[in-house]
Amino acid sequence: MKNNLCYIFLFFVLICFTGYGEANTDTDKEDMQDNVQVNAEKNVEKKLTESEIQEYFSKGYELFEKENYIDAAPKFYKYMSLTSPDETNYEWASFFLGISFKKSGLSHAAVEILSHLVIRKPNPKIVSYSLELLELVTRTLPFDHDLIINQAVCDRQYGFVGEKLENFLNYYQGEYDWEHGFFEWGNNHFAGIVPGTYYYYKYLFKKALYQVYRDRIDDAISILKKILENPDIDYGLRDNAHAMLARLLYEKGEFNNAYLQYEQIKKPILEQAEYILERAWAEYRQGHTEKAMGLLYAFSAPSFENYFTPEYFILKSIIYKDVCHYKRAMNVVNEFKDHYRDALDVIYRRGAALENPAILMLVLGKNKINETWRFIELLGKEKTRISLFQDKELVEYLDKIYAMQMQESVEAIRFLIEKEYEKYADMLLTFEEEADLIAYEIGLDMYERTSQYHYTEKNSLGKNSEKLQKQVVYNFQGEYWNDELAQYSVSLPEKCSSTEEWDIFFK
Amino acid sequence: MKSILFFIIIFLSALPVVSASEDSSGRYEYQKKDKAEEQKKYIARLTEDKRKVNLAIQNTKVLIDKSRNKRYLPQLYLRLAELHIEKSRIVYFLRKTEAGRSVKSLDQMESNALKKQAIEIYQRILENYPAFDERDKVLFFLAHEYRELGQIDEMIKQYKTIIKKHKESSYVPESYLLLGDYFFNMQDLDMAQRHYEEVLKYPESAAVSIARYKLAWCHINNADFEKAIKLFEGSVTSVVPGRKTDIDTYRKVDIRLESLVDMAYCYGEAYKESTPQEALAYFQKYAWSRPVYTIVLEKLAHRYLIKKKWHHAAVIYRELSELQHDVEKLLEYARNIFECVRETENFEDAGKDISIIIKALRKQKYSIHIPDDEKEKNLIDYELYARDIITHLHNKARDLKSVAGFKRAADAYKLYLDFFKASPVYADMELNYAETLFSAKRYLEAGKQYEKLAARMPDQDTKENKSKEKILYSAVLSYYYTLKNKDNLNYYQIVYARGGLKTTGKSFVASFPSSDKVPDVRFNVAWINYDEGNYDEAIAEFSGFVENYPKSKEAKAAVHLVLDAFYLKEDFEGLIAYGQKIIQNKEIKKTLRNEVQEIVSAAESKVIYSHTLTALNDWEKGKKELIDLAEENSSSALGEQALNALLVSSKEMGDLETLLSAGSKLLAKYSKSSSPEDTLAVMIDVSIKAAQFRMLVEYLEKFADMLPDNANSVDFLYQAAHIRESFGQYAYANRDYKLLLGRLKKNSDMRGKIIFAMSKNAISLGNDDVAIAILLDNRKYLSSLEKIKADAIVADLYLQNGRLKKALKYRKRAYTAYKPGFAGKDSAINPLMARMAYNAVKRLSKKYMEIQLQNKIDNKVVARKAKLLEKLEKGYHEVIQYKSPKWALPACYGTYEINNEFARFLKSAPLPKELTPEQQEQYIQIINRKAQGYVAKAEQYQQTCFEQAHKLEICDPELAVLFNKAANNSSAERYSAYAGPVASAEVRTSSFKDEDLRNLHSKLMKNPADLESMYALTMLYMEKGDFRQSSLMAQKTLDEIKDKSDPMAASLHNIIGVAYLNAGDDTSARDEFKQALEIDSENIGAKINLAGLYDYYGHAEKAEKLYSSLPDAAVVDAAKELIHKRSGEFYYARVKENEKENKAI
Repeated sequence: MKNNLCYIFLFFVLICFTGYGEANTDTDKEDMQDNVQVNAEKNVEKKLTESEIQEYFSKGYELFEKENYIDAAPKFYKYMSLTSPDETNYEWASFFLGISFKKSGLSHAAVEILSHLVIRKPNPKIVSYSLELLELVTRTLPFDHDLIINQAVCDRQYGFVGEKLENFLNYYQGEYDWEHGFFEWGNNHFAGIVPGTYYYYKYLFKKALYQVYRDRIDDAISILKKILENPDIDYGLRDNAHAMLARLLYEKGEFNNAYLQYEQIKKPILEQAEYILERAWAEYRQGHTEKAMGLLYAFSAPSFENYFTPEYFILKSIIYKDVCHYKRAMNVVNEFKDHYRDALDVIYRRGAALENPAILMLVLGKNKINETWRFIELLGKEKTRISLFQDKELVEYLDKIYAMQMQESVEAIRFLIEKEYEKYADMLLTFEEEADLIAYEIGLDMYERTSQYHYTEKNSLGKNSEKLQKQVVYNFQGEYWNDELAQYSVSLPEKCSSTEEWDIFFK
Repeated sequence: MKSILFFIIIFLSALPVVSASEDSSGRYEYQKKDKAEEQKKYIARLTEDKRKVNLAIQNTKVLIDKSRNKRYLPQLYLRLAELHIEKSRIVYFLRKTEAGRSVKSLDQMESNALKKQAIEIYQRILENYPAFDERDKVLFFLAHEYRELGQIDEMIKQYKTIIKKHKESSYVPESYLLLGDYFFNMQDLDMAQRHYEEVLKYPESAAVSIARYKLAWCHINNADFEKAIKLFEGSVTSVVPGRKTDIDTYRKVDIRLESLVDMAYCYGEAYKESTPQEALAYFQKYAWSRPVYTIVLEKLAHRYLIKKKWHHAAVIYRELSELQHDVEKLLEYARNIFECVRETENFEDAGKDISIIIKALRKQKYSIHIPDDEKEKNLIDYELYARDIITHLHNKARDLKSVAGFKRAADAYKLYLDFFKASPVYADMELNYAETLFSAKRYLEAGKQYEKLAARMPDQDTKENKSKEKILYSAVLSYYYTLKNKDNLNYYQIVYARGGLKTTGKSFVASFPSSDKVPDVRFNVAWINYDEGNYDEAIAEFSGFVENYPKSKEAKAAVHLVLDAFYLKEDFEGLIAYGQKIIQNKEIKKTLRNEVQEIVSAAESKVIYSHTLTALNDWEKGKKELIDLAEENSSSALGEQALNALLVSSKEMGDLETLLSAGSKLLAKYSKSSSPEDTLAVMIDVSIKAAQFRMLVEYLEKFADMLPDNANSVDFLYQAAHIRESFGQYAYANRDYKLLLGRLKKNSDMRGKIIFAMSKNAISLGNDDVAIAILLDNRKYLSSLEKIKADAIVADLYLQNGRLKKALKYRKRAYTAYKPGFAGKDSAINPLMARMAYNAVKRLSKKYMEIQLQNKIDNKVVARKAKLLEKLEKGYHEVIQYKSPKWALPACYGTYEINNEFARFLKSAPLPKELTPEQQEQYIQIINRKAQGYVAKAEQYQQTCFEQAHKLEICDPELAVLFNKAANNSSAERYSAYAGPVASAEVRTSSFKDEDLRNLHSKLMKNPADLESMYALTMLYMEKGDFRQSSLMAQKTLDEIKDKSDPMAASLHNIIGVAYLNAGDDTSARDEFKQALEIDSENIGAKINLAGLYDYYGHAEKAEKLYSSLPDAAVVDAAKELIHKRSGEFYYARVKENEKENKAI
């Protein structure tokens, strides 16, 4: 349900904001010109005295101190629009306006104001306060990465701003330097992060990633283990470290160790679709077909609808095939085709990404796109709060901030989706091809198996089959309790030593 | 739509807002500020400071007074001087603050006076305390104050004093530095340089890095950039963080940063040959952070720009654009890059440059902090920059016909089109983009772009429409080229290109049907369907294509692809149907039609193969399919193949009925279209295996008939004739023989055998003339021995038919040519000679018998008869000499007859009337004696005949008459055959409807060595009355039995014997029964049958012996089926008689 809503929202957002800039440019321009004109006229109509202008700041600050941010913000905004940046309280007004926005649930507007403020390097206190808030936003909310990280943090050098902020600045500046190939400068920044802090472990995680990039897997593994030695690290980072470690161990063929790492991931089970699939692979590679299938059953839960990838079907059919459940294996292949029939239709008729909800939902799972998407959702949510403000000019100002950001983010996500859509569409077609191949191999296996069966002693086959049947631990009941999803065991007796209906055909 | 969005947004807004940490506003250290109040507070603070300094001065003075002659007195003076300096500073700021403006000279009076007081104190120290260990410090401070007061000469003097008199002082390098600065400011660069160089001798001094920096500038002023930059490098690398000079001038100066920045100034001059990339590496090496690197690169780029080193500047600005996010800076960089590119006309990095421009504009577009009018102006300006770059790039690519150039242009166009959506030349740029993509061989993207453009163009027949035709065709062509090189495409790209080609192709054909490109397009659209596996559509499209353009060069490929599509669908019937259409289409080239014919034939085989496979898995279903297929295609090769398959598979499945039906149809319908050899071979093979000899003979003959030149046909005909003979079908046999004669080589050994067989068969049929003709006509082919045999037969036949002269002629030939030794060479010769001789003699014996005396003795008659007797006797003797039992016995009997006759003749001779009774009595006695001699002789022959007949166990009706006559003086002229006339049934192929027969034949067909089935079949045929078939079967079974003592062999011999009985060949029957009993003396059937035969032919003792050895009647009853009907009658009659006798007793 949530996914459907998500798709509908995405669809309308992308449709409504497509060409927003172009379609509305003229209107916006006119509106803007009108505003400028109206303001000018107002100023002409009524010239305010210095004290009256200062009064806006004083009043705003008074309201701010009383935590009445909704009323304080228009005062600061008015003050700022009537003064220039070199005015004594301009920077403070700007800062208080940003804080008021944040306190009013407009994090993006706050970021917009405060980022711009720190870029101008006001007094150190304001810089510190602003950076503190920006740091908080980066840890807790979706945000405009370019504004905070690129412009406010990475484009500047700051003096002493306190240990916590130093860590924050050093981490992102170091990360930026590494990402742009400036490893020595990056190392200098990372060296400035105080060990044991949140950003220190974040840096270690980044370092592990870098080691993977350099193909130094063992180094990456030891770093990740070091991160996980600390029981108090941020749970998100811990989960990521477990997941990454699991993947590296899997790649090294340590499937059981990989599985143990996956098990320690704490995030809600419904957000673990990809991990469950990876766990299933790990189990499968260890020869634990029943456990693997148990994990895959988790995906059958309605909660996972739209989360799983085509790989789910492929693995499931491979497992069935391996244990000679050929009918079921074929059913899974058919299930795959049924599930993605509409998606494949859209691909074959060269439909647009937006016409293909199945793929779109998969694309949204991609980190960068997901981040952007969550940010768009945040903008949509925060935009509704603009109406809390009564001041027309401030509302127009905020509307403009949100409209522009929405347009920029939608353009970005559209670009990313179009770029990724082709990859996912190709992946789906590849899986379709694989499904056909599996269907073919199933046929081949059935034939070979039958042929072997007819040349094997019946008695020994019977015994094997019985033995394997006894290994079944727990029969899946067809229930979906989210906390149990990854714990299912299913009955998957190996049937390679017994006949099935189709054998008659080959006899 | 918007209302739904509104709803969703409202829904989402109801969700809890994630808030940042709950910072209280109170924690922000903001304090309200009032300017006047602030100033007031500042003045008060300065006033307080001044008061404190005054107090300190007073206290110090007091202390000085109290410390006369104390060791530390100079220290107190030094402190006092410093307090004056401090007070001078406070006074200065107080004056300045109170005035609210810059300080005038009048306001500086107090301040300067205080400085002078300080100078005096310093001088006092120097004068009064020569041993003071901080004199260098005093001198340094003194120099500083002189400089503050503008007394530069005094200043220089103090610094020089330090250098001269306090060489070990830490103030020496700083003094050199400040002197250097003095000379530097005086433009005395040599002096400045010398002083700065002195500083360098004090590497531990903080002044060194400054000296280097200043020294570098000296070199710059002397245009020696290489030396300068080396010094800057040293300055950057030698600065020790935290170690600062105690010089006001440099206190706030970051000399490291200054050095680095100034390196940018002289880099271009110092390293004239270095590339921009080397420059970047150089500054990256010296910079200690990215912001510093950015700062220095900005200087460097600017320097290059000023120096018109456009390429270098462009590269640096590009690097800066990667590092910076500030929109204003990005716009500046973009503008500078454009300027550089325009100057150099180097568009290698056009894509990057356009993306830099767009990056700047995009940031501007979404910035809330940039005024809209400025945005708009920038947008217009930069759009022109971008367009200019792209146009140049495109033109250059065109001029050079460079694919790489087109690729760059295409990338640039893409960036442009993605951003400048409101561009006044957007449509033109879109078309250019499509063209560059095509020229860059990026066909998939080109296809997409052309398709997009075409979709927007109207369909009406206008001038623009013409360009639509071009664009649409370009789209088709682009997709076509995309798919030509599929290896580099992923699945999605392939799917997309296929869809694109189909859509645009169909659209093109629909919109421009008269275009000369339509055939190509149609072909390719069809091909794409084929390529993506939509075979039905491909078939429809290609078929349509072939119909419309049968003579086009693509028609051949189209036809082949249709056939291939059918093949891939495994729709072989469709393939065949389509192939037939093509074969019949005269508009299509003959070579192609021939190719199609071959493919169709192969497909037909496939169809058949498929049905055959089905048949092997599910015979009834598959059989029906094959039969239907054969019927539906009865006029084509497919029908023939279907029947062939049916034939082979029915053989495999053991379905004789189907096999025969298929074989017959095949031979009937397709004897001309294909070689029937295989079919017949199968039929013959099956007939042999199934032991169906009536069927076999027909197929052997058919084989010989249809394949006269086949190497096997001679053998087959010969075997057929033999089988026909076995069946008593002599006319058919002779027909076969006749054919065979025509095909044999003239010198073939077989000829003789065949000729005699034919003549024999003709005789059996009662066609003596035919037999004679056969023998005479073919005489020339016979060997000398065979000729004798032939003459003997011919002679005999002529004789039988009353053509005595001819008979005589051939008889003479035979006699003349015959030699006794020939019998060793050919056992058949003697019986023939014997028969010929016997019949000739026999005929004469009739005459002999007719010679009778009438009422008187006629010596001539007697003499004639006597002579004839002699002749006959001689003749019979001759017959006997041939040692053929068949003829020796009647010859013997004939001798008996003629002697007996002669005796009778003598006895019955009338008495001569002229004789007296006595004479008559005497005469009678003489005659009787004479006659008795003949009787005795006759009896001797009769006895011999009788004995030989029994010895030989004669069971020949003809001979039996003789010896029975001899034995019983019976008057019977003929003896019928034992069984009498028996009609033999002919169970032919139709009898396969009989389930028992069919099953047994089928079993045999699968396992020809199945003796039990063979035996059962033998019995069944006998039961059905087809004795001849039964006999042949029994013979075949006997051949298969390896253990000749097997009781089954005895039974089979018995069966053969019964068949012989029914065929009237009692002699052969006797032999078979005897053979049966030799193998199994207890074989009831053989015993009873032989006993019956013996009984019938008068071999009573032998019969009795057999009867007496029989078990109980009940046991005999059980073997009923093995007993011939007549034999049964004999047996049961005897049983009854015995019962009667037993009762009588």
